[in-house]
Amino acid sequence: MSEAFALSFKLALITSLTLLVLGVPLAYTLVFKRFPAKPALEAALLMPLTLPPTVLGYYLLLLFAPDGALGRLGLKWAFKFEGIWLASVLFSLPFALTAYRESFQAVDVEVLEVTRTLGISAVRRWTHVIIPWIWPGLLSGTMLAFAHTLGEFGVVLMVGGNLPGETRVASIYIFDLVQAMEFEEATRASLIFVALSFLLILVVRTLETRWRSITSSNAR
Amino acid sequence: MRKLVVVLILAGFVHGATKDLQIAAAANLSPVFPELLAAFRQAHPGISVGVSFGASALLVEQIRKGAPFDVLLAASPEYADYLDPAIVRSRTTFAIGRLVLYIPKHTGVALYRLDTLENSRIRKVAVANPLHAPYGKAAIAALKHAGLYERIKHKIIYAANASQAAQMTIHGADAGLIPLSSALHPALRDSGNYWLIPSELHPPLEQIAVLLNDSRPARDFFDFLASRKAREILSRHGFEEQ
Amino acid sequence: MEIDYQLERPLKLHARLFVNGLTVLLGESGSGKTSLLRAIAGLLHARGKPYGGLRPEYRRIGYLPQGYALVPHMTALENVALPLRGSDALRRAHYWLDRVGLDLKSKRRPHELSGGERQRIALARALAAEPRLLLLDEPTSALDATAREAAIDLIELIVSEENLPTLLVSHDPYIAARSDLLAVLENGAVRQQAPPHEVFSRPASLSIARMVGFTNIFPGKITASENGAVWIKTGDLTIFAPTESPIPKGAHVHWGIRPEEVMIVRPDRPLSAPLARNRLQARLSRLIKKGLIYVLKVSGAIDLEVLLPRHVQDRLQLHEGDLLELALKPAYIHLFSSG
Repeated sequence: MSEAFALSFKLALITSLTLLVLGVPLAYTLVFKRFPAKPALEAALLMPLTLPPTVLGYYLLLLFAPDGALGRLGLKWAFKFEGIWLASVLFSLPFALTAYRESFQAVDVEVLEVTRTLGISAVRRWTHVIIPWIWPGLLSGTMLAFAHTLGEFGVVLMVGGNLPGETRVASIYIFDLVQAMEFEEATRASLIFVALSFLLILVVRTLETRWRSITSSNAR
Repeated sequence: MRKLVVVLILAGFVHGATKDLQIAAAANLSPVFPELLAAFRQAHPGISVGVSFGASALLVEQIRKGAPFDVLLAASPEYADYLDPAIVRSRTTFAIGRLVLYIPKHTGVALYRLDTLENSRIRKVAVANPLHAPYGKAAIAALKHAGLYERIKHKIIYAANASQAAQMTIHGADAGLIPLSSALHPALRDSGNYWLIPSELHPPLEQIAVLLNDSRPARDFFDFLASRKAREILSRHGFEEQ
Repeated sequence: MEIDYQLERPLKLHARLFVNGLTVLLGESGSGKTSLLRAIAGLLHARGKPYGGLRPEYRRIGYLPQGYALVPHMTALENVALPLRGSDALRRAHYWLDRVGLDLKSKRRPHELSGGERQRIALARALAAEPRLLLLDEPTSALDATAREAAIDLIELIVSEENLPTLLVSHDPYIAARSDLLAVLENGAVRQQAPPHEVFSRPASLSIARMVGFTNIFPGKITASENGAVWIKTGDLTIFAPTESPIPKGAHVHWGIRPEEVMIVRPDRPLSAPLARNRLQARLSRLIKKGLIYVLKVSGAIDLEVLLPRHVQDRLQLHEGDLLELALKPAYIHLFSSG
């Protein structure tokens, strides 16, 4: 059981950190930049919201199989941790992106413009103006992605198979237990999961409230 | 910040644990596997083993897509034919499986042969998906042979694999056509009755083992399946000898 | 300094003007003055000089948008120190805060300050970056009358003390009157640029006249012309007005006089010869008090708007319905070029 939970945590952690690195610049671009392909890009990135996880997983499996488009390029990530990591990133991207976008939308674009005229470097603009403004929102979005990844099942099962220590995350492990009729163990594992999820959401909500109080007290 | 680095390093260690032996086993073997594995480990200590259960067809598909299994245990020879011959090192039949009709006590119906399924109290019958699972195929064949299929096919609910069919039988279905090994599982053994379906009524459930990787642990396990200890464990769980 | 900018979006614009001391750019809403300012700041794509296509970070300008754009999670001091680097950054920030009179409130956050105070912080911040050109977008629009007065006083003071060319964009004629140089933006170009009193009394077009509160404008026909002057007939009235360039007899023109410059003839004081011209009788149809000014609407051969300071009305004691005699001093009469 600990192996499965450790794997779930590892997947959730690496996925949410990846989303932070990828998602923040993406969200910034979507909020502040204008370009012709923008609606198409937004639609593509948000698609996993409506796509069944198994469909997404299936297409990724086809891509990462040794004879798949990506497998042939050397990315033979089917049934490997790298595969479920990418699948989780794509699948949780809409959640993280929406939260990050909301954070950026709270930033007054006029302020950003003025900082440019003041001759401030991009680094300073980010560290002194933008990040202090939105960091609780970014954190809560990242934690939401973390919680969401913890609960993933269909995508991971499709792309990762069910390999213990590599791709058998806690959610799949519990499913396995039920199928094998090991009901006691399944109950134990499920309770742990419920407790974890509850705790995570509690932390996210607390952060959200704190962020709202900071930004509303700054409102003009 | 430092705490974060520690967590990241620990996370990396989790990934380091790849198993020495990776087995893909048909779902109907899940009741017997804990004991088999324990015996194998006693004979060959220090080998880390990972097992993934699923419907036989699904496992073959995964292997075709590059899943890194060393040994495949399927509930029927036919799916193994889909494997690329180049990766099949060795192949053998290590047991014969049996199909039963299982009725949980709570259904409140006396069990007497397959015709019992026509009882109006039985509204849902769990069967493994015949497209993916040999036990499912066998169940449908048996029903057709007994001339019951057309009359009760509307009651059938399909499970992803043979062990899920067993699980569904005690979790909401009124009856199930499931492996004997599942009916003997503690969760079902005392909660209902089963009737052994005559093996003439369906194609034989030949449990085959395929060696996919010529590693030491894989060969050891492959040979272990033919050992007396393994055969004894298998027969206690309802598997017959070849 | 000279500004020459061409814009295509969001509207077509080609503005050429000089910035000397406190220069106000007057224009109606939607005329593109904010866009022009943003283009000079580098926030809008445009061709022109100075700066050309240079990125805003490299232009030595101070830009103050209408919303002041202070960083809400920083204190006043931190906001002013934002463009400053180095060990004496805070000291310099204090200096500029003090110049705008707000050093005592350095630890306050924007939401704890009034609109006028926030504007001053934004000004201090722009000045701290030591710009060579200051751009102000409607700095007084959101302020009440007292704050407006204080703001324009401060701006005038800073501009002269720092010798900083400043382009202030506004639609408010009061602010325009306070400038050193007034430019009017209309129809995608700068139509007139001159010291304010000249624009006010001699607007280059009818639409500019409207913008600067020049309300008495009438169409007429030239009946005669002499050296440096013409006679214009409007309805029953014949007006004598000086003109720089000769206008042919029979030409149609527009002429006007500012409401402040219409004179009411007093029966006890005889008028000198030039004023003997351009006399008319009119009845006072409306008398409106607007603060310390009285607005008189009179109707006679033509309808005029007259502005009287309070002390004059106190002396004359006029009432609605009174018959008045008015004089339009030729020097105050302005002839408009076509349209």
